[in-house]
Amino acid sequence: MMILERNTLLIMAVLAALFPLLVGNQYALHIGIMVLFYAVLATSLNLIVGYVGEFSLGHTAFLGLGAYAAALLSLRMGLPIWATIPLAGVISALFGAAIGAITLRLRGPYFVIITLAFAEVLRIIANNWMGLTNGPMGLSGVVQPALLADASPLAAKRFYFYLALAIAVVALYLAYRFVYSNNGRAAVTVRENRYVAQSVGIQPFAYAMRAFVLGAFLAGLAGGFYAHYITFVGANVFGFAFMVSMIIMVLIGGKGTLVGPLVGALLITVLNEYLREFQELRMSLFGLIVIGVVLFLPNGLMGFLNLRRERRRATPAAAAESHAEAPGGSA
Amino acid sequence: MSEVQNFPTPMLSVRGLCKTFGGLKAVQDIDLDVNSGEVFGLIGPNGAGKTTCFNLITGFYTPTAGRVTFQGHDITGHSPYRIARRGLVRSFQKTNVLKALSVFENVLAGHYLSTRQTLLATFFPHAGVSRAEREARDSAARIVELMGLAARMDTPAFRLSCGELRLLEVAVALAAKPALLMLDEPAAGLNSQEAMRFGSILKSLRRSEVESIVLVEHNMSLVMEVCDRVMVMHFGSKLAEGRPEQVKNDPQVIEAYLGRARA
Amino acid sequence: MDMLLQFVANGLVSGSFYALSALGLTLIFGLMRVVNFAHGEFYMLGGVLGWFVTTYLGLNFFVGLVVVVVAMAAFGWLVDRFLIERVRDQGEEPSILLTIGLSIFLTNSALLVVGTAPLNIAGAVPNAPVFLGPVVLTQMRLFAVAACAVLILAAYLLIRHTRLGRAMRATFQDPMAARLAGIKTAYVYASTFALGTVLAASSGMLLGSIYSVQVSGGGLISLKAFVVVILGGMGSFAGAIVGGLILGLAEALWGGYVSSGTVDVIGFLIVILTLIFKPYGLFSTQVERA
Ligand SMILES: Nc1ncnc2c1ncn2[C@@H]1O[C@H](COP(=O)(O)OP(=O)(O)OP(=O)(O)O)[C@@H](O)[C@H]1O
Ligand SMILES: [Mg+2]
Repeated sequence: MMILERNTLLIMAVLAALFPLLVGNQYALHIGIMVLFYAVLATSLNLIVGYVGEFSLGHTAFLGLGAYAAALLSLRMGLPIWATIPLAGVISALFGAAIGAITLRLRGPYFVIITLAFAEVLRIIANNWMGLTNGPMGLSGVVQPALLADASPLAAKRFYFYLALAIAVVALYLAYRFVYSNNGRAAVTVRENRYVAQSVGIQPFAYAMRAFVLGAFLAGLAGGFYAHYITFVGANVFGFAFMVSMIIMVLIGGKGTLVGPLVGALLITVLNEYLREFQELRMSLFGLIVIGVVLFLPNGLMGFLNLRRERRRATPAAAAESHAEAPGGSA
Repeated sequence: MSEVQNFPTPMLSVRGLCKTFGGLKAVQDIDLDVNSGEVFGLIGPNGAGKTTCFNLITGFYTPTAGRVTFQGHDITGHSPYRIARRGLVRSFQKTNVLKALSVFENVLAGHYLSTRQTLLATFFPHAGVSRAEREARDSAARIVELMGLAARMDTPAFRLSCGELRLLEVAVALAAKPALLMLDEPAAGLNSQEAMRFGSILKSLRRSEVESIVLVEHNMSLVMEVCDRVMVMHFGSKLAEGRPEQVKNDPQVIEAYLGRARA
Repeated sequence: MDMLLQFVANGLVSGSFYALSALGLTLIFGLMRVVNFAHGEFYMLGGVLGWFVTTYLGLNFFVGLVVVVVAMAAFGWLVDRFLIERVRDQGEEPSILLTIGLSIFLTNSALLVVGTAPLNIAGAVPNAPVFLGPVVLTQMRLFAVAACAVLILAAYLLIRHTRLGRAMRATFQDPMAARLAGIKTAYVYASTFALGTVLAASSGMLLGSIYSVQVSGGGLISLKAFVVVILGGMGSFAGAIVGGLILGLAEALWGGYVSSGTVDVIGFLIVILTLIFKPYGLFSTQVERA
């Protein structure tokens, strides 16, 4: 699994790096940039949903904090992009530690609601704190890097593509190291069975917290990138629409795998563009897709593929026995 | 007990342990000592309070009164994970494994303590990290073999039979390298032949893997076979303590078990 | 002082709608453990349907309300039978996703059909002011509050004193035992879900007659219903009512004295504080069993 995922990720990175060289179309590059942006977001959410095993509906808190942080650092303090994006990640991570300290004590539906409540509180603050966030008008004109001053639009898109790719590579490197280390194993142990985890010496809260803060950091990076790329930040970065996209990506791809959310990000971003002309119809379809995934693809595409792989390996020797017990029943 | 004097300090020492749930006195004033090198049996009819004792000693419940000392440290009321880090690891009566993971992954997960690392080393691993990982993998494979699960190494836990699950649970506990291993009915659901094989594995563990074992078990022949000393609980209190054959013939103990049979 | 009384009166009016809609959620979320993110959409559908039957079919308000109740009961029943049933007993995560999907679908389909403009429902009584000492309310508000109270009472009687209510209580205490006792639990689940849907929808229609129906407002309504249920304690009937009134009052006072733009924040602050200090709700004595 580990080697397979690593190789898949490497191939994906190489393909992504070649993409702008083969494509000279601004629109296609924009789609590519959004895919990478969502890949980072979905990866960061997956650390919580897939590895902590708790369902956060407030992950946009960290996207939004990162976006506002980068915009403010750039507009008010004149910091350059290579400083604002990492700082956006750090600020998000700090908030992640504070919010995690409160929310990770709760589980199940309580965790869902309280994380959502935090994101909503931040959204309302962003909408009303005129002095800091410029309220509903948002922060516009986030400063572009100097080297784009007299670049062509196509060159600018290429620049942002590689910036997004760099962030995605960092995000996946960190996530990969985390997941395939003692930390990731400990988090999975906690997710699967808190009692076993404690009885082998794992402090459940510590590992949930690490994954949560890492997730917040990565979402903050994505937010920082978003601020510079879109050049405008409004309270909608805390909104439910981003949250829904992220969730669908993680679930369709398959939570608890690294490749899954990337596949989800690619599929959904492209589908989203494809359906752009049908505004509400598109969202209606999204709703149906979510329902369909829950009912027919509960472990996402990766889960589906793994299951098939395992089936094929198991036949014919263990075919009979694989009918005996079904997965999913937890003690 | 004469044996106690042979060992200057017991490994685990429990004094005056009590737990009440609402009005129910589940555990009342229990004293017990587990010495280094010994297999200690804890028996008693259903509902006697054995599992509650386990939960109190390993920190899953907080005692209403009493103290627990392990290797000279007071661990009363500590969190389970801190107690595990001191080398006291338990298994659960209701089977608890990581169902979605393979046998090997389960046991590897049990090696948490020997592969702990700083966050920096997580993201930028140095040679020590990969060495610890390699050692943990070797050790995990060895433990799986030791428990006789080698053929099931890569099988997901949810496909295991009941007997194999019990073995896996012990394997996960062993992976944490405990000094004292506490097993709650590890042979429940095994047939008598499997139970006897399990008994011989247990005996070999005491020599090679752990210093001492506390065993809760209803299978009397297994208890008689492997335990050096036995304590009998009844309605939360200590009824008798001594060598297995001594306890077996204690009229009070017989009464307690027969009383249950009559009820 | 005069303002304070007015704020309190306003708070109690909106609080009674919160209570009614939260009562529906406390059945679905508190008892059935379905984390229903489509609750606000059920509320919204009640409003839209109410608008449709009164405006297009020209029914009077009461007949319209009966039609909405029947239609939404059937709708809730079908949702439970065809969707919720399939993820029952799988923990909360699938139900969260399923209902999020459902809420996205319902909101946007409704937007496709009726558009974004607010819809007005003709009320049952004239919109004339009523003076109660220093406090001014409208006849319509008083009527709507009374209707809320009647519906709450009806739900209470249904749960306490009918065969279905007894079967519900048995099922949620111990589904296995209920099944052994010959209760058709699938039927009980669907009925409970339908009842929860009806309570939300009727709250939506009543409130729609005072203000107007906003098709895209369902998300916030869901969240407020969750706030109330968590504040009052999961599955607690009295808790939902008291919690609803508290939220209504707190919002009215915050809006009156602090700032009217940030009224919605109060619910989230309440839920965060409740979950930090009293995770099982103000009125619950439940403890976690290890
Ligand atoms: N968390 C709890 N809350 C309330 N009562 C409990 C709790 N845990 C155990 N009890 C009660 O304490 C008593 C002792 O239970 P315990 O599980 O320790 O018995 P046991 O000796 O392990 O029995 P068995 O052989 O059946 O496993 C029982 O009456 C049980 O119902
Ligand atoms: Mg027991």
